[in-house]
Amino acid sequence: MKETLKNNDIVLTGQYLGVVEEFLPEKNSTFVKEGKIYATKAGLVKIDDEKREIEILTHQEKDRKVPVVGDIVIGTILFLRRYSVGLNFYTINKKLHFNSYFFGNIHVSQISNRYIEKINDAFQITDIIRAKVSEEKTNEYDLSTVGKYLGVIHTDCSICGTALDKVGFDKLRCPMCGNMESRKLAADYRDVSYNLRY
Amino acid sequence: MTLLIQDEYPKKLFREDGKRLDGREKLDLRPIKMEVDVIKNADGSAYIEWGNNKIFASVYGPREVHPHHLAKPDKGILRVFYRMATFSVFDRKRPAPGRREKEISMIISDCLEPVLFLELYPGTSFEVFIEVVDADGGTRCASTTVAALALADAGVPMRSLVTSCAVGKIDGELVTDLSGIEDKAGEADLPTAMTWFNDELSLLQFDGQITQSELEESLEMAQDALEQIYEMQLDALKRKYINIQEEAED
Repeated sequence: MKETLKNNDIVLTGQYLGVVEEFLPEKNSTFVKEGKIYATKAGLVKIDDEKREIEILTHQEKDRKVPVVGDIVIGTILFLRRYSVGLNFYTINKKLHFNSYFFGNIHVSQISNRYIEKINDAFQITDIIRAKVSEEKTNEYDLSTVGKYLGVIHTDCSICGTALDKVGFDKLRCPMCGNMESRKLAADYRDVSYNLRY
Repeated sequence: MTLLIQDEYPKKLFREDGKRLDGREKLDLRPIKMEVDVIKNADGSAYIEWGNNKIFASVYGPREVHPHHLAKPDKGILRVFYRMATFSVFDRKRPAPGRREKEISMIISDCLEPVLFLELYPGTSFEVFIEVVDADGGTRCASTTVAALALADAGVPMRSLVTSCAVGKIDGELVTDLSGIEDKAGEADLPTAMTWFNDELSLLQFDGQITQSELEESLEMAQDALEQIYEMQLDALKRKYINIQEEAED
C-alpha cells in the first residue's frame, strides 16, 4: 500500500488511504483509527488539492448533490428582474443540502399556463417556491413553475409580514391588515410540512 | 425417477483416494461466485453462489423505523431478516419464520453491527433481507458474507467488510467449508466470521465434539479460508466500479 492515491482511483471498504498529516478526512466516507485514514465506503477517490480533503464518491443516485433536468427543487426568491426572477435553492428532490446552494432563474413564460403581465403578480422577494429544473447551464439552472403543485408554497404579507391566507386560485389576503396580494400558488400552499419548506 | 425419500447419509465421508465426496481436498473451498447490484429497487444488493447455495441479500436504509417503538433516540438499529424459500431444501420448508430463522437473523445482525457506524443515524433503521433460494450447508456463513457485501454496495459507512466461513470435523479429520451432507453426518461444525478492521472474530458458534488442540488448529484453518473469501468479496465490489470509473474519467 505504498503507492499514492490519485483522483478517480477505485477504493474499497476498509482500505487504507493515508495518515492524518497527509489529508483531511471527510466525515461521511472515511474514518480515522490510530492516526490512519481508512475508507468506509467503496467508490472513487476525490482529493481536494486546496483543502487537502479526501473523500469517496459512491456515484449512487441517492448521494447525488447536483441537480439534473426533471428534479423538483425548493428555493427562496432573491430578486425580481423585468422578465425573470432569480432564486437560491437548497432542497433537491426533498433532500436538503446544507453545505451548498444553487442558483436558478425562472422566465416569465415559464411561470404559469396563464398570461402574466408583470412578474410582481406572480412572485415577490422572499417567497418560498417549489419548481422543476428544465435546463442546465453553467453554474445556473433554468426552472419552471408550470404545474398544479409547483409555485409559491409559503409567503408573507409585504406590509406587515404575517403569513398570508389563500382566498382564491391566485389571491391571498393578510389576516392582520386585510392587504390583498396575488401569486402563482402551488395547490398545497401553506399545507407543506416544515421540513420540506427550505 | 426421482426419489421421494432422501437416501440415508453415507457411512464414509472420504472417498478411497482420500478426497471428499465432492472431490475436494481437506482445505479446499467450494466454488464461490459473487455479484453486487443485482436488485434494482433496493438501495444495495448482492448475490452469492457458494457451492449449491444460492442467496440474495438486499439492503434498505437508513429509513424510518416501523414499528415506531423500536427506534432508539441515540443510534440507528440494524434489522436482519433471514428467510429460506419453500423450495430451497429437500422437504418443503414451511414459510413461517421458526426458531432457526430467528436465531440466524440474530447471529447475522450481531455479527455485522460492530462494523457499522450506527451512532451516526439516530432514530433510523437499516434493514437487510436475506433470501435463501437454494440451500446446501453453510447458509449462515454465506448469508453473512453476502449481507456485508450488500451493505457495502448500498453505500452504508462500514469500518470494513465481514467474511464468514465454517470449519468442521468429519470422520476424525478437520476440514474447511462443510457441505450439506458433511454438516449433517460429520462430528463437529464451527462457523466463524471475521471483521477485518481489527482482525477479530465476530462470530464463533460450535456444535459437536473436538479437542482443545483441534479447536486451535481449526481456527487457523478458518483464518486461511476467510482470507481467500475476503479477496473474492473485494473483487466483486471492485468490478462494479470499473465501468463507473471509465465514465467518471471522461
